Order: sequence, then C-alpha cells, then structure tokens
Amino acid sequence: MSNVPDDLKYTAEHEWVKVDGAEVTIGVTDHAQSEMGDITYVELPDVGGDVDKGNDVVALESVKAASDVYAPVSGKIVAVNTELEDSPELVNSAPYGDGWLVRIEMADASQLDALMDAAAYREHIENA
Amino acid sequence: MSDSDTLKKTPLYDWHLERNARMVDFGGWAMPVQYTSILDEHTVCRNKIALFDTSHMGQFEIRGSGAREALDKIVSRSLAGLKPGQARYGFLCDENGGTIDDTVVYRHPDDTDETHYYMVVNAGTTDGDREHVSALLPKTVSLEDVSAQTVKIDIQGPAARLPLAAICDADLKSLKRFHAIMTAVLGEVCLVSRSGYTGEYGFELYCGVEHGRAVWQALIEHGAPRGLKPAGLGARDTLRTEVCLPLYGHELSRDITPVMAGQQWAISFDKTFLGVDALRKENATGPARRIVPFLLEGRQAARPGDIVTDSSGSELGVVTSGTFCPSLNRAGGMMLIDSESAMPGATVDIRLKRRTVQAGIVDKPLYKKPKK
Repeated sequence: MSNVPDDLKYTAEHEWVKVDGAEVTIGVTDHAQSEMGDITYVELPDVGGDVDKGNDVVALESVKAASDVYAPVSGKIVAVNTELEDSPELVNSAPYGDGWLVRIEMADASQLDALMDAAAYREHIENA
Repeated sequence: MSDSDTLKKTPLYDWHLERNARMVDFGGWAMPVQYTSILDEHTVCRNKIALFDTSHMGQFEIRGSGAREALDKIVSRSLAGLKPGQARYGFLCDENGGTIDDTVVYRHPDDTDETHYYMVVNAGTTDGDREHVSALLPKTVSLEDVSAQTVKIDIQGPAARLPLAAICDADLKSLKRFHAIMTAVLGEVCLVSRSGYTGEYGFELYCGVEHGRAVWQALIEHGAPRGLKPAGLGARDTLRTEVCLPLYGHELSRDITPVMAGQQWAISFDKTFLGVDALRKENATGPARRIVPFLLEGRQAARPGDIVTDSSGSELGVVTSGTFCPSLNRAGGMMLIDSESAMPGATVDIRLKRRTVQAGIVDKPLYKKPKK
C-alpha cells in the first residue's frame, strides 16, 4: 500500500498539495512515482510564469514513458525544484520531500476546496 | 493486465508474477518489463549479473542431408567452416533485400557432418520465419519448431559465469564467444551458448520447459549472494541500445535492409542466397538512408518515431530507437536518416513532443566498456 501522508491534499491525477499560507507546494504522490517507474528527466516551468488550474505545469519522463503533471490551482510559479535537473530520481525516492516540483502563489484559495483529503485519495487509488 | 488471458505466456510467467514484475505485451507475449527498476536492473547487468527470461524467442531444429547448403541459400551469412557448436549472426531476407528477421544460426554442437543446425529467431516473427524457411528447404531437410518446448535464459554481466558454474561442470571459461556446447546443467543436458544481447559477458541457455524452471530458480539462488538480479525487457532495451545492437522492427524491417542498417559484416556478398542481388546493388551504390547512432546533450529522450531534421527544418529521417542511457547519464539512440547527413561528427535536430533538440551523430557503440 503506498504512502499517503495525512497532512496533504490530493488530486485525482495523483498530485499532492501542501498548503502554506497563500502558497502551495506540489509534487506527485508515492502511488504516481511507483506507477511511472524510474524518473529520468523533469521539465520544470519558468519561475514567475502564471499557470491555470488543470493545465500541465511539469513534464515527467520515465525510461519508458512521459507524463504530465497538472496545476491543482491557478497562480504564479514562485519556485521550482532545481535539484531535479541533475537528480530526477528524487521524485521516486522522496516524492513528498526532496522530490517536490513547484511552489505556486495561489490566485484563488477557494480552489483548494475541490481537492481530496488523504482518506479520499486512499480510496481513489484503491479503486483504481 | 486486463487482457493477459489472450497473451502468450512463457514457462516462467508465474515466477514473474510472484515477484510482482510489471508485465507488458511484447509482440503478443506477456513479458516482465521490470521487477524493481529499469535503471537498477540495467546497472546490475553492467556491474554484476542480470538474469533475463527470453523464452518468447523462437528456435528451430533443422536436420537432414544437405542442411548446410540449403541454409546457405536462405541465411545471409556463410555457414561454411563452422565448427560444431559455432554460431553466426545473419539475416533472413526477401528478394528485395528487405529484412524478414535477424537470426543466430548454430552448427549444432552434436553435429558431425553438417546436417544439424539450430536457428534462433525473434519472438514476434517466429511464425513467419518458420513458414519462410520451411518453404525454401528441400525435401531432405526438415525444420522442427521447438520454441514451445524451450526455455531460454540469458545470464549477463561480468560475474555471469559464477552462478552457472555452480550448476554446470563444463569448462565455461574456455567457451569462446558465439560458441555453444551441449552440457548438463543441474543434471539435464542444455545448449549453453556464450553470447548475449547486452554488450556484457554472459551466456544464453536453452533448456526444456520443466527443467528450465528449475535452472532459473537455481541461478537465482546461486546468483543472489553474488548480486544477481532478475531483469526485464526495459533493461534489455536500454542495454542493447547503448551498444547499438539492432532490434528487428526498429533498425531492421522489410523496409530497412541489413545494408541500410550498417550490418554488411553479417552479409556474405559472394554467396548465393535469397536477397543477395538486391543487397549487392544497394551496397555498391550505397543506401539512400542509413542507421546511425546519436547522443543528446541532456537527459530528455528522443523516442522511436521522432522526426529528424537538418538545422533548417528539412526532414532527414526518423529515430528508430531512443532512450535515456543509464550508463551514460544522458539520452541517445539510433536513427534512420539520409546518408549524406549520416556522418559521425555531424549534428541534426530531433523534434520532441514539445521542443526541438540537437543530436550528435557518433560512431557506435554509445557505451564503451571501461578497460580494466
């Protein structure tokens, strides 16, 4: 059973969201990294750019396939995890920690209401 | 996998499931793509020992008076002068020189008079190859498809001999590359070949079905303390791509001749075999397009089918194999492009999904084993 921390929010597309005041940090879940296999390349957006909820914000590549990560909320990209340029495997080994992807300054905090809590996400992956 | 009921299964299928291998459809077979991690399995093969189930491949026993002469009319490589147990790599071609399959043909280790040969072919092409070869053999020569009765195990890596030596008394140290012996492995005779598809030292074993399961298990047990890991098709692909070994359907096909693929070394141009006329012509003028290896600067991979262009955007060809190369820490592969542009040292552009990257054409192999 994959790891699903209780203090995070989740999307149906297997992203996690950590709320920190007006900002959120996002990444992909343990379930997602396990499904994808070894991540070999991460394409991060530019800091300062805007992103709309539901649009692809990060591209992940594994040995066999490519996967898009979608922005769970709209806002401005205020930070990206540049460690992933040389160490994309952090997404696999520490998906909730050092494998974080981007930090977004939210344009509309009410968008958080549409996200799942840990229990709902656990059920989501169990039924997948 | 939802439709794994309709896919063919090797005799080791249950073992793969028990190990929670991720299974994929490869040419109609349910095969393990990875057990733990493609990168891990690739690295274990380069540094220690990896074990591959390749039982989906095809094997034919070819027997009869005139077998060697008959096969020489069908296979691109001359089989003259082979010692018992010795193998040669070559191609089955159509009359246009198009590749029907690539194959390794052994003079059987037990053969005394050039009447017994063992042909190994690819998984997806086994049935077509059988029909093709059978139709060309004279009445005195028979082809028996033994694929369904055979477990094939590849054990590859610098330490590959050690677990095998624990269950086999033969002098494996002196077995030369592309030579095979019939010898007892775990008490029952198998064909043991010094060969492989990874660029590493190692062996390919051909065993009966029940016995093959026991041999696999014994190799796992004897190998684990030495770092042996089972490895799937994902690692098999990254390993062979790094040493620029062609894969049928990618670098070889009905539309990609062995000359286009740069495999002239495996064509006996002065022999009469099906396709030789077309291949001679093509080799004399030079093929219009050639397969060449390439490297990318970064980690993002070009994939088979990605379009290759020159710097002004004119199409030159297509990527045939492409992946992140774990032993190089960067992406690379092989491409089929216009021959004038296919020069080592040249750069070309590759259109990835979202951006265009520059690729450097290089000599093979992409990965060179470090000298001791």
